[in-house]
Amino acid sequence: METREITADELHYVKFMFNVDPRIEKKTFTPEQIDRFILHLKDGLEKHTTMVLMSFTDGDPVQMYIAYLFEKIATGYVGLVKTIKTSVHFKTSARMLAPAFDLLAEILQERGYYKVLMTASERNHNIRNLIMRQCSTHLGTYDWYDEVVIPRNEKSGVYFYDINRLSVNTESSVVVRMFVLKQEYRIPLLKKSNPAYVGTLNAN
Amino acid sequence: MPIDREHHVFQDSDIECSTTLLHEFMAHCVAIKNPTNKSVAPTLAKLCIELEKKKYYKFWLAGTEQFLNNLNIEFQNNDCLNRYTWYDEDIIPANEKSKTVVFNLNRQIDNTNDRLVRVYMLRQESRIQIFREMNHDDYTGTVVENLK
Repeated sequence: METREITADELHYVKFMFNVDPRIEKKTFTPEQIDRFILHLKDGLEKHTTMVLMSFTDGDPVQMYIAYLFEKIATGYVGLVKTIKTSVHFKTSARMLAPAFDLLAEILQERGYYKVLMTASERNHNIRNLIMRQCSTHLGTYDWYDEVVIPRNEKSGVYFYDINRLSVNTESSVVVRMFVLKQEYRIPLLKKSNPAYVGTLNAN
Repeated sequence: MPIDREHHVFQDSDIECSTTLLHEFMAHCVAIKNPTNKSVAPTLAKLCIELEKKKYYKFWLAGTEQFLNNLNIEFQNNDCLNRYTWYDEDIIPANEKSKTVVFNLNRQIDNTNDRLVRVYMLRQESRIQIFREMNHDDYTGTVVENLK
């Protein structure tokens, strides 16, 4: 399986994935919604504020991570995670998703972004954290903090959290969870460019 | 005064985001304006309480590494501040600005010392208490240890 960033010229792969299965979790998206979303992605990719990380098997996409970059606060935001078929059990899809998360973490860390936000129901967060940590190199190197709980059928009221969500969640509350690279993994990264920095471990 | 700085930096559609961050900047400002020979813990503790009322659960401080490490002792001895943990975010070399906009707010360029930027995060256990009090019907609250 090959995992890489795709460019604005390769967004047909995103369309391909929605053509196979237009659902995200239990919600089905219309072709118009998907087209609008792809335009939104194109704009972000061209402005370098969006990344689409995709894994391929035999040339066909099997999963994607869509992340937004908030340069002003050095933070990434995962707006969407999708596997080719939503019916696949997470124990299987986690193995597909982990390489993309790992690539995302590496790209963010190279940029000096040590925080990444993800939104999901608390249950899905926990399933991911439990299962994907077993097949991801990087997920276990992050602590997490719940930032906001957005009640079902509502927006958070915080533009930052709402802008890149595809829709309001009608099934459950959504937790915005911030993943924070642990201090021990930051120290070597910060030392690379700042030899005078000593680096102190926190008490976590 | 912070409003001017906010508008100066955030001129695009991030306006609500900037409002969220504004109070984190205030904390940043407190540290800069208090010289190292005076305890900032009581002021920071008051500020944290105000931030939490507004549902803001993190803030940044910038200072020399030594200063921030010394501050940790004050944090440990303060019932409010010891609910926070911290992570190093960036090092701003002397005479330079950070490439991250938020870390440059409310601070002057330091001509002498590198400045370490440290983010202080309210611990997950304390956040869970807060969110539980909001009575979300499907929020339990999970710490890492629960998953092991």
